[in-house]
Amino acid sequence: MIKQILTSFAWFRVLRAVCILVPVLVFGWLLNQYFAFGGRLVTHYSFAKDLRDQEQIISDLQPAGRVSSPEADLDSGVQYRRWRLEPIYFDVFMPRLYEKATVSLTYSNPSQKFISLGLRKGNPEIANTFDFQPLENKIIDHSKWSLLYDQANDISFLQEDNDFKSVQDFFNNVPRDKKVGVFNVNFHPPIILPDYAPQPGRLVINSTLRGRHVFYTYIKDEDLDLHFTWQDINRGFGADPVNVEIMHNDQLVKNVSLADDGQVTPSGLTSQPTDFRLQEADLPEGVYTIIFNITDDVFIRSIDTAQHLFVAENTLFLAAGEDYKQQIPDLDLAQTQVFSDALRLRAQTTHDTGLQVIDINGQSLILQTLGAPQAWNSPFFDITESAAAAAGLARPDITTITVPKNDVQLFANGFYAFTPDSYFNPRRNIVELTPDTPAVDLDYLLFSHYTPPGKRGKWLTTTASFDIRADHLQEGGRTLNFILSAPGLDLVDDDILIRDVTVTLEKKPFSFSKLKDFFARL
Amino acid sequence: MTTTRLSAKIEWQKTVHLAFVATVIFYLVCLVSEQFIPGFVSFYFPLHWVLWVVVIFALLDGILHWGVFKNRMKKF
Repeated sequence: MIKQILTSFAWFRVLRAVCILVPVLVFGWLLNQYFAFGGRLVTHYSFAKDLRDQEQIISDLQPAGRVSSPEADLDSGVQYRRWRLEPIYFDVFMPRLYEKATVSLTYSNPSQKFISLGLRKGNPEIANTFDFQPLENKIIDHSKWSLLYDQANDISFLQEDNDFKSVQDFFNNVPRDKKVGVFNVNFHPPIILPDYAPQPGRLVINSTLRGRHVFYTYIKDEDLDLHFTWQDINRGFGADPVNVEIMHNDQLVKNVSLADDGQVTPSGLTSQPTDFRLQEADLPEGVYTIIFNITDDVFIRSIDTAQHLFVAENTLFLAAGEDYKQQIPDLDLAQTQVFSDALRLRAQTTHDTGLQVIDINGQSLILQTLGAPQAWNSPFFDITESAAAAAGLARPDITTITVPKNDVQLFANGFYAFTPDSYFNPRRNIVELTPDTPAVDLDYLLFSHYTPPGKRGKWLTTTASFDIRADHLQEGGRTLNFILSAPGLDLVDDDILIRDVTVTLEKKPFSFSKLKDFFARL
Repeated sequence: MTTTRLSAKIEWQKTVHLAFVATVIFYLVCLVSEQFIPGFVSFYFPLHWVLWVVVIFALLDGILHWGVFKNRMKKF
């Protein structure tokens, strides 16, 4: 039988056809992967390719110290990587330009409350900014409250008691005395401080701050008057213009752009102190946001304002450290004291001279490793106000943070004031849900564009979609940089196990009319 | 050797030679594509895998043509 097959001449024709067809088909498949004639390219992160150091469309998960090498489950043989510290990054190389990227992640997460995926936008040398999409929020997933859904705006609303009949009903009557948790939704109802009155005198902040900062102030029957001084230390490549935006109720009130000092190379030459006075009259009462869009080369040396309520949001980079003294000789290295409402704080330094012990309400936060954020948790972090009151404990409203040597970045979900009197909470009863949000007695929960992950055994699968814009394109215009973030991962015992990353890239499918247009243009 | 066996051997020689030539062409096309479009092939499989297939077919082709080669060497 075998002899017959081997000597049958008809079989040779088939074999020869196969010899030609296989390479042709494989090459056709490669062409389709490159051009994606159907408009879709689906690609998986491969552990096997990773182990043999082969390039793939989805890059290795980086940095290596934060995520383990591929491991295999002994029972099922399922391969995964252990995500230990956050954030981690991966790149997606697009063979062609695509319009939409959908990332699907299969993972196991026993205890981390929040996971999100971000797509980098803009030049990373200027700022590390990402468009974030939530992947998992255990507070929402575990909620037993009744749900209202506004389909037109894709906004969901959870309430314990049925106080509102629709999401719109809630928007029309936002209660000021109830706490509203918000997640992944831009919800900034106008805040009015009934007891506010302008005060004479000026608030002077002499703490040197480095890079982008966001401040909040309150204005009523007074002019906005902000005088600030800055210097450019020219340590990095590129121009360092200073851009200041004033926002009110999510509307741009004023935008000021000030040119770079002309040094675009990392010369280390420090510019002379430059000042600018920003004044705006006849502003309606309310909270105003002042955003300094500046690179890390720009140091804000001082802020002098007529506003007496003035706080910085979330991130504060206290820069008056020994490392910069050579470039800015008149830098005052005295300790800095700030006052914050945060009950969880992270601090990090990147210079030996910034290693120190930070005092937070009498507790020590020791910085002994460069570039690794160290966390401080208030004993009240996991205790809600009502639970603290029931136990006869008083949860402090303000925490005093003393930073002896500066050169420290502080990260929190909260606000920092430079004097106790200038502190105010510009959000009032609106609580942004982040991993750094302490336990809070919420009355309502508002969220959008979030679908809880699907569950299969211990594995969860969730997706996030991004419309790709020009500012998302990195490194030659074909690469997307993604960030996977699970803040506080270092504070929980369990690692997150990543089993699969699948990226679906979409664009308009191939059409002959497009081809005709292409040749017509030649 | 019978005529049928001889004919079958010739068919095998032709088929393996065709496979060798086809993989060489495929390898060269992949190599050039990879030069112009980095990742065109290497994102999906390493190019040296194709080279190994070429080597295997080259060896088979050599073995099947060994008699022909030997005869020519004798004449030479």
